[in-house]
Parts: sequence; C-alpha cells; structure tokens
Amino acid sequence: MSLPTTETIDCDILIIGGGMSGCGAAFESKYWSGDLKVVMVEKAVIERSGATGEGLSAINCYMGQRNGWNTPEDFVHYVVNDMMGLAREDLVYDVGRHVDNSVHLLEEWGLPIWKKDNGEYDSPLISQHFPIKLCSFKTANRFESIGPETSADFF
Amino acid sequence: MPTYVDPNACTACQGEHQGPLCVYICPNDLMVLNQDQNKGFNQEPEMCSECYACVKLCPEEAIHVRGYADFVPMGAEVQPHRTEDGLRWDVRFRDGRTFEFTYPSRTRPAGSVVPYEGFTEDRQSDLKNQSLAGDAVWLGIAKLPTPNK
Repeated sequence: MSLPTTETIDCDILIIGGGMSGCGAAFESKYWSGDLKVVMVEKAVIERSGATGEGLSAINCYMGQRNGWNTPEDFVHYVVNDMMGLAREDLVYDVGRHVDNSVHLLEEWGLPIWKKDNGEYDSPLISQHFPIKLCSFKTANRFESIGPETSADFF
Repeated sequence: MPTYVDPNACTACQGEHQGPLCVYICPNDLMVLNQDQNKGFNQEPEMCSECYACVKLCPEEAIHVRGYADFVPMGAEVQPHRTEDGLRWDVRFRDGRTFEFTYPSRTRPAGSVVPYEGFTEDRQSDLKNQSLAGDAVWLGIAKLPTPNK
C-alpha cells in the first residue's frame, strides 16, 4: 500500500467537511466573498459525503412560513422542549427563519418533493415539524397496485 | 444483510480513481479489493449500513443487499438501476413474482443549475445585514423575521 502524498493548497476561506453543512457554508461564503478562494476539504468521497449522504429520504426541518404553518418562535419553543432546555435559542431561531430558503432552493435545483393537490408540501403533521416527504416515500404505496391480498401475503 | 459481491460478476472495474468504484464510493471504507483474486469484497460486514452507494454504482450490478423493510417484505431481492433522472428498482419477491418501480432523484438535468441565478442580495451593502444569500427571493415571505427579545 502506498502512502498518501501531501499537497499544499492556499486559500482565503477553508471549510472543513463536505457534508450538508459544509456544502451550505461553501455556497454561502462563495456568494458573499466574490473573488476570494474558498476551499472545502472532505475526508471521504464528495458524492457521498456526510451523514446525510446515506439516504435519509426526508427533510426533517421545514417551517412553511409562506403558508403560515410555523414561525421561528414556534421552532425555538419546539427545539428547547425537545432538548430539555439545553439549546442556544439565538442559533435555533436563526436556523428556523432561514431554513425555508434552503428547502425551496433544493427543490428549484431539482430535488423531487411530494406535494398535495393544492401545491403545498406534503407532510403528515407539519405543525409538529415532522418531515416533508420526498418522492421515495410514496413508493411503498405503489405496491397496492399488486392487489390487497398480495400485500397481506408479503407483509 | 450487508453487501455481498458476486465474485462471478465482479470485474474489479477500474474507475477514474484507479480502483474499483465500490471501493471509491463506500462512505465507511468497507469495500476493498482482494489483491489475490482481484475481486471486490466487504471487509467488515457488521459495519455496513446498507446505504446502497456501491450497489447503485457497480457497473456490473454484482453487489447484492437486502431491500429495506419499509418498501419490500422480508426475503425479497432488489436491484436498482441508475437512469438519467432517477432509479429503477427491480424487485423479486420470495415466491418468484417480480415488480418494478421507478422514482425520480432529480427533476432537472444535471449541470443545468446556474449558481446564484436571480439572487438579489447586493454583495457589498447586504453583507452587513442578517439576510443569507437568496433569502429575498426564496424564503417565500416578504421580510426576514427578527427576534422579539
């Protein structure tokens, strides 16, 4: 087995880790920094980087502010309860007020999201911050086309 | 069941990174090449999270993993095939019947996204305020909320 070679790269902004957060930081910093050189390093393979890469098939946080579903205050209340009081409320608030931007952009860039007939994102219990559904969720229901007696056999 | 490489089907493919594609893509570095037999294999099956990365990438479709219980029943074999905009899954139930379904993984062609297209934040003056890139267009509400206290 050969030893890895060392390469030196100069940069203005260094982002360590290429998961969801790292990619978001790279996207954001490149927008504001203009000509500065942004470098993101990742220990593994960029196509499958981060824990998110292992196929979560759901977006676990969406406020739906444009539909009036939740406010950032609702989100802070939920997270602080969930963490039994141990949460930085200012950071949680910041995630809550910006997260819809990310979700809408992901959809614009081509992420298929399951929707209701009225065009709203489909989510079983949106007021409790349950995941919105990506298309893969629906595949389970498609087995109904084989027939109910068959489904009973298999499951 | 963790990944199992069918040795008859594995060709020890050489990807762009000078090694088999399963070795390249495995997020946990479990897939390795057996140098003596020139076949890929899972060196630590207990650590496999069955994420399907190698299964979907294998050009010979030589890697097998069980289907997840939330979309196929126990004993079914599944084989995903990559298509241009998604995955087609072939399912073979334990009584021999087969089923096929497709779901999209993207709604627009790869490479068609123009970075920061339509963003209205000014790189100089808006750097000092609390908006993130794209908030004005993509947040979906007129004004960024600010804390009350």
